[in-house]
Amino acid sequence: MPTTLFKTKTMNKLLLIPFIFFTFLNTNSQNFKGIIEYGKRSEEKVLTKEDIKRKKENPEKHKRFQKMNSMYAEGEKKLIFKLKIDNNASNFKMKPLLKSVNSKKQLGPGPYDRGIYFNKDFRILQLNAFGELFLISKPKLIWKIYKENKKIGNYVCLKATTEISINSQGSKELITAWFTPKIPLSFGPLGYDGLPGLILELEIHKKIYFVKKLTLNPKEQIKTGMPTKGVKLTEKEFQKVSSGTLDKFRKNRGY
Amino acid sequence: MLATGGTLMNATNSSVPIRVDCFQDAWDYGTNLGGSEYAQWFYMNEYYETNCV
Repeated sequence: MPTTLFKTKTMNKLLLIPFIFFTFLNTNSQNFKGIIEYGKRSEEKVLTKEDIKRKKENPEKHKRFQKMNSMYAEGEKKLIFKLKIDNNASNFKMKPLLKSVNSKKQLGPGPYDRGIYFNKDFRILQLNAFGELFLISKPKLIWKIYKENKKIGNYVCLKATTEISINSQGSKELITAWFTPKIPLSFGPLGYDGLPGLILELEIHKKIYFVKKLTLNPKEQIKTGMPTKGVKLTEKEFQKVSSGTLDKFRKNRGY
Repeated sequence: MLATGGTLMNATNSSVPIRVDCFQDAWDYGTNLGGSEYAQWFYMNEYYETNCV
């Protein structure tokens, strides 16, 4: 009997340890607040098959396209994005750009960079597209986490990937995130969430969003406002609208 | 043969003459970058605004 009792007590203790650890982490993440600044850069330039073909057949056109790409790469250096996290909700958006002296259009922000992303137990994106404001609800992400790791600043980050559907045809794209379990905030740039730690780097469509400044538990009040205005659509519905607009344009132009 | 200003969307709906080869460039630039249909539209539009107006 005493032996059994001892066993039971030991087992209870063993069961309690992970429970306490989990509760600690959970409580901690609930109280955790943060303001994180990200920058953006292009991945190293690699010519695609299309680029190589164009370079050979129409070098002048290739130069024009490369010039545009360089202008984007240059403009990206000036971009700063702010991720605000509080009470298990996050808000991610780009800091407004300073107006250029010559009032020329500034290249740099990509198609989804001017959107406002709000995450809680759902993911939404407010985006001005085709001259209209949309409120797009995004599907839950399914992540694969790998043993592969790298150090970003003082944090060891683990690699994770998720596959997303990028257009109305259902084409897939693999997104890579580097997150640190040391910071129990399951958020990141562009509304990417659901990992057991903060995303410090995100690789998406040949662009990299990287952490520049990390302020955890600041004294100031953090407002993670949820955007509410815009035509409410699911991501699939928005892709259909985009496809329809592009098709209409293609037909009008005779392409 | 140059447009006086505006975006691709305006150009589609107006009778303002535009440089055809530049329009073709904008189309190719946007569609070649790939990604979502919205991304294609976005890059096409920015190419047009930067180089064709």
